[in-house]
Amino acid sequence: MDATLKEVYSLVLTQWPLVAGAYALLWTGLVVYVGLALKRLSELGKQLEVLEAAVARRGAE
Amino acid sequence: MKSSVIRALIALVVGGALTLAAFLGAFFWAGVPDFGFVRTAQQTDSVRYQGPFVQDVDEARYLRNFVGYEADITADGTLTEGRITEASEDGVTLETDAGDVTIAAADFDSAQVHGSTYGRPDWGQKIFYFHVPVAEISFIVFGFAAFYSIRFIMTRRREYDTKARVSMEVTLLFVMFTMATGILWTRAAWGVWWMWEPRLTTYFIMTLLVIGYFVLRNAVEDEERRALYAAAFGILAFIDAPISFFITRLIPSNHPVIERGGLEPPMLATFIIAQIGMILLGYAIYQLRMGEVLLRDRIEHAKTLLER
Amino acid sequence: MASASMRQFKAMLRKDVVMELRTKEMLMSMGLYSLLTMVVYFVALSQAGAGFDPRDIAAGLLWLAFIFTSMLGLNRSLVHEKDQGCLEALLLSPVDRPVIYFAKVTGNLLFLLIVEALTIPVFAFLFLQGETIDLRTMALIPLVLVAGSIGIAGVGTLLATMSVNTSGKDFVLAMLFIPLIYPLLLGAVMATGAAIVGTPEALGVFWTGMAWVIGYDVIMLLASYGLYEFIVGA
Repeated sequence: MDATLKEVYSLVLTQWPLVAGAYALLWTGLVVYVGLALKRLSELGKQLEVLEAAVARRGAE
Repeated sequence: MKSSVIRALIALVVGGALTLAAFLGAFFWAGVPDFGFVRTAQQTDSVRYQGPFVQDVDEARYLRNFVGYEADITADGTLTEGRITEASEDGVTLETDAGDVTIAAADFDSAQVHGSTYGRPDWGQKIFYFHVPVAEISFIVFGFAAFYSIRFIMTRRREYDTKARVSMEVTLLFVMFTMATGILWTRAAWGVWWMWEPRLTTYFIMTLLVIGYFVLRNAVEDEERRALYAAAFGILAFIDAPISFFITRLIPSNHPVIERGGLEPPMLATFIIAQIGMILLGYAIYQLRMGEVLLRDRIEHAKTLLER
Repeated sequence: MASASMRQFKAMLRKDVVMELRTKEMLMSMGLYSLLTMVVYFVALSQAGAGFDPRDIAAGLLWLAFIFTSMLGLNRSLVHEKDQGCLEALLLSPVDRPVIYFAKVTGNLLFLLIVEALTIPVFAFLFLQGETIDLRTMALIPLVLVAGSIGIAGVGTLLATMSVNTSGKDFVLAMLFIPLIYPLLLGAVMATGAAIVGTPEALGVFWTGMAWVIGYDVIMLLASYGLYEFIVGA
């Protein structure tokens, strides 16, 4: 790169890890949080199905 | 229960798509604003070129800073035009059309140096498109938490306590996102990781208050009492939110404030899309957590039925 | 009706004062605690060097001592009420809840002000000897003390009422109290610092700080007064 342009873009070159870090933190945080919430939700749903089936069986007896 | 999860999923998909669109917009559509400038000897490229740079110099020794620049030098009443190749305390050497010319410092009268000015792109501003929406959501959801706390104190219905608690959890999540992106932006824009500056300080206090809300909840055994105490503290804590929000407009602060008409259309559009996307994501997360709480309630209910 | 409330208020305040005069427990513990804080300050400042002007940070140090002492006192005063079953008895008696709140706040305010009034001379004796001090502007300090202590006692009483019923009483109180009191602390330190510096320009800063503290007092006392009724009965 031309020395002048290198100087012009020096802020870009020094700032990119910070910008990338900010977006990485935000996106991984969101994805992990939502993913964990969805996983818990599906597990609880399965648990509830089993329990409600048991309740229905007892009601039938 | 099911409907809240379905609403959450719809909000999640739409909000995720909008956020992704805003992410692409931030990097491939919106321009990069300038943050300060750079002077160069000549124009090498039209990218970020701001215009010519002209500087009057009245002492020969200052020309040391301008080696390589075009200069018009007046010495002993005659004008010499050329490029500075060498400059020191003693004199200056110019490369002119008629060959090299050396001017002694004693003869020097004045000089005019010519160059170009370039804007330095502020890439760190890209954080803005997500930092600000995330911070806004944290304030909005905190407001909802305070609202549900008030509703709980008025009605004593357990559902409002649950809503306040879940809102507070979402607030904590978004407060953490704001802090993380904010600290990195602080480093990019101000060169430090942290500054005790009004907005940062009050927001830090808000973080502590939200954490304190959960400390209080965990420390109370009795369920009804826990709900009441948490509601009271939630209301008291919310008083800090408007202070933190408006403080940059009230007292001198380093923290930037968005002004009406301060953004170019692509930037503004990206920012608005990011805001809508984040609001939907916040809503989706709130509904997901609510769905989970309701599911747990139903499981408890089924268990007690089975134990009978 | 108002006179009945007044009578109840006086009776409750007298109860706190008489109990304190008998045991002297709160004043003793708070006073000694603030004295101990001074020792810690001495250690903290021992490496500061000769060019250091203690007046620059005197206000901050003073309010730091007040905050920690007040947390100790607030916790004690409410723990007493709870251990002796006094609060429950009060709730059973036909007394308006706001009266209970204001009696408790006034009691805590009283003890806090006494300890503060004792701490300041000790602090000045230990750290400000030989410094030039303008006594006319220093005379403004009691204003900040009263305004700041009203906020501390008002918010603190509500929070301590909550925290005595939690596991880990003092930590919970600190976790809730310090962030909530932050705006008041900032204004109070600003005003006190300006009064200690004492230049004419500092006087403007003093009133800005005071406005801050008074605004906080008004908002927070109203909110605490409104919420106490729900908290105390829980």
